[in-house]
Amino acid sequence: MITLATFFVFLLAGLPIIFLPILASISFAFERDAVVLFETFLVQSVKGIEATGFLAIPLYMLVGEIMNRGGITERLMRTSFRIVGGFRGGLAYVNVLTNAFAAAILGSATAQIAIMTRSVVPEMERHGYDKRFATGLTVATGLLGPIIPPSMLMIIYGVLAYQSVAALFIAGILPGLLVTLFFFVTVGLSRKQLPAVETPTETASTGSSVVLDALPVVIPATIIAGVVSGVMTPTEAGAIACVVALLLSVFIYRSLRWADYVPVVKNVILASASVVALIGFATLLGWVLAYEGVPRLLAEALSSTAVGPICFLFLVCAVVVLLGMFLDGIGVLIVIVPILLPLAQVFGIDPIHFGVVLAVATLTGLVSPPVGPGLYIAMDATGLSLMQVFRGAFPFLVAFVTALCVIILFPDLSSWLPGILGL
Amino acid sequence: MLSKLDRWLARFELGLAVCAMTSLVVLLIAQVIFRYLLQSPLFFAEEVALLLLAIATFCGLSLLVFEGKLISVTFAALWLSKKADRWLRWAMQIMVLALALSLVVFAWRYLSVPWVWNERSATINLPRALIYAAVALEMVFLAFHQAVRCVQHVPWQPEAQGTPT
Repeated sequence: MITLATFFVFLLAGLPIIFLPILASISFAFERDAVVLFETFLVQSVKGIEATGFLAIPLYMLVGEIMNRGGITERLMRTSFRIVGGFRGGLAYVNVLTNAFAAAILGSATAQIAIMTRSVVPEMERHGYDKRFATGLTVATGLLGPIIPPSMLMIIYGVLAYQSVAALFIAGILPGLLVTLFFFVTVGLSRKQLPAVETPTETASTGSSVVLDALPVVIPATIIAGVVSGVMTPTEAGAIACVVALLLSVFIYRSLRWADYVPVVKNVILASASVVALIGFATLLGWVLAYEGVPRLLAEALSSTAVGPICFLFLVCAVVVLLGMFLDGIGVLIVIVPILLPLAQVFGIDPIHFGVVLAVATLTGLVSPPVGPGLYIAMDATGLSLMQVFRGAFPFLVAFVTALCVIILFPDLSSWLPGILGL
Repeated sequence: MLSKLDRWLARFELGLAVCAMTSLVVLLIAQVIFRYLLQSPLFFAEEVALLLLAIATFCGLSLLVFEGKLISVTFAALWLSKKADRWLRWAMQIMVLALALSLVVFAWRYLSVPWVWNERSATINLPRALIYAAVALEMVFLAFHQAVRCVQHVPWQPEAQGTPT
C-alpha cells in the first residue's frame, strides 16, 4: 500500500517515468523488510536488458531515423495521397494510410506520433481541418506503429514470453490492417470535422517520382521476407534493414551526408536508452514483486474471477489499460507478462494471440491521461492542452478499443497468418 | 567550472555511446554476412553486442539527464503556482539524484564482494562484474549531471532562459 501511494504521489509530482520503477522497488523492499535485495538492484537491471532479442530495438530505431532524415514522411504522404487523396476528407485518410505505412518502418508509437504531429498536423490545418481533430487523429493513428511489423512491443513480449518474434511480427499484420480499417470508418463517420472543399495538394506524378516515393516499402518487405522465410532472425533482419535504409538514403535519395552521422546516431542512442533502460528498471520491479509473491496473488485473483478464455482476456485488457494509464507500456508488459502468460496458457490461449492482444491493449495507455506519453508529445508539437488532444483522439480511441474487442473475439485474426506460414 | 566539466563529461559519454552503437550495428551486420555468406558465424557477436548495448543504454540515459529530456508527467503544474511548480520540479530533480546515488551505493556494495568477480562471460571470458562496474560508473556520471542541474536550477534564483523541464 505504501509502495502504491509512493508510486502515484511521485508520478503525479513529476518524477521522470524511467525512475519510477526504481523508487517503487526500493519502497516495496523497505515495506516488506527485504532490504537484502538492494545490493543486486543494478545487477538485476543490467540482466534485464541482456536478451539477444533486445538488440533489435536500436536497429529498428536506426532504420526509422535514417529514413526520417530522408524525408520519408513526405514521400509516404505523397504515396498515400495518390491512393486515397481523392475522397472528401482526403487528407484525413492520407493521415491514416501514411501512419500505416510509417508503422511498417518505424515500429514505435511515440516516435511515430512525434514525427507525424510535426509534419501531418500543420498540413491538415492548412487545408481547413480542425486542429484538435487533426492532432487527435494523428495521435491515434500513431498507435499503429507497434502493431504493424516491425514492432518494439512485439520484440519485448517475444523476449519475455520466449515466443518467436517472427511469428509475433506476422501475427500483427491482420490486426494492424483491422485497426487501420476502423480508423478509416471513423474518419468517414466524422463528416462534420471534414472540410467541405479541400485544396488538392501538389503531387507530381511522373513514373519515376511514384516509384521513388513508394521505395521505402522495400524496408518492411525485406524484414518480413527475411523473417518469414526463416533466413534471418528479427535482429538480423533489423541489421539488413539498416543497410537497405542506408543505401536508399545515401545513393538514391542522397539525403544523408557524413555531417548527419553523429546527430542520427545520437537520436538513436537517446531513443533506445529511454526504452532499454526502462526495460532494465521495470525488470527490477518485476523481480522484486516476484520475490514477494505478488504475481501469485494477482494470478489467483484473476483465475478465480475469469470463467473462460474470452472473459480472461477482457479482464487482462482491463488490468492492462488501467495500469497503462499510470505506467509506461513497456513497464506494464515487463511486470505482467511473467504473471499472466502461464495463466493464459492454462486457459488454452495461444501465446502469440495473447501477445498481440497485450500489445494492442498496452497501447491504449499511451493516449490515456494522466500519463499517456503520446498526448504529451502531441501537446508539445501542437501547443494544444492535454484534454484538447484527448478529446480529439477520443473517437479514434473508441474505434481502437472496438478493434481490440474484435481481435479478442476472433483469435484467428492474429494466429491464422503465422499458422499458414508455419511460424 | 562545474558546467564546463559537465559538458566535457557529456561529450565524452556521447563519443563513447556513438562508438558503442556504431560497433553494435557493424557487428550485427557482420554477423549476418559471416553466418550466411561465409558460413562461419562470429561466436562472440551476440555477447559483445549485448555488452555494447548496455554501455550505449546507460551512456544514453546519462545523456538524457544531461539534456533534460527524461519524460515525466507534468500534471501537477496545471494546479500549482509557477513558484510552487519550480520547487516541486527541483524536489523531483533531487529525488532523481538520490535514486541514482542509491543505485551506485548498492552496486558498490555488490562489487565489494570478492567472489562476484569470479563469474565470467561465456564467450569472451570477461569478468561479468566489470560490466556491472562500467554501468555503475555511468550511474556516477548520471548523478553528476543531475547534481549540476540541481545546483544550476535552484528554485530561489531567477529561472534562466531555456531551462530544461
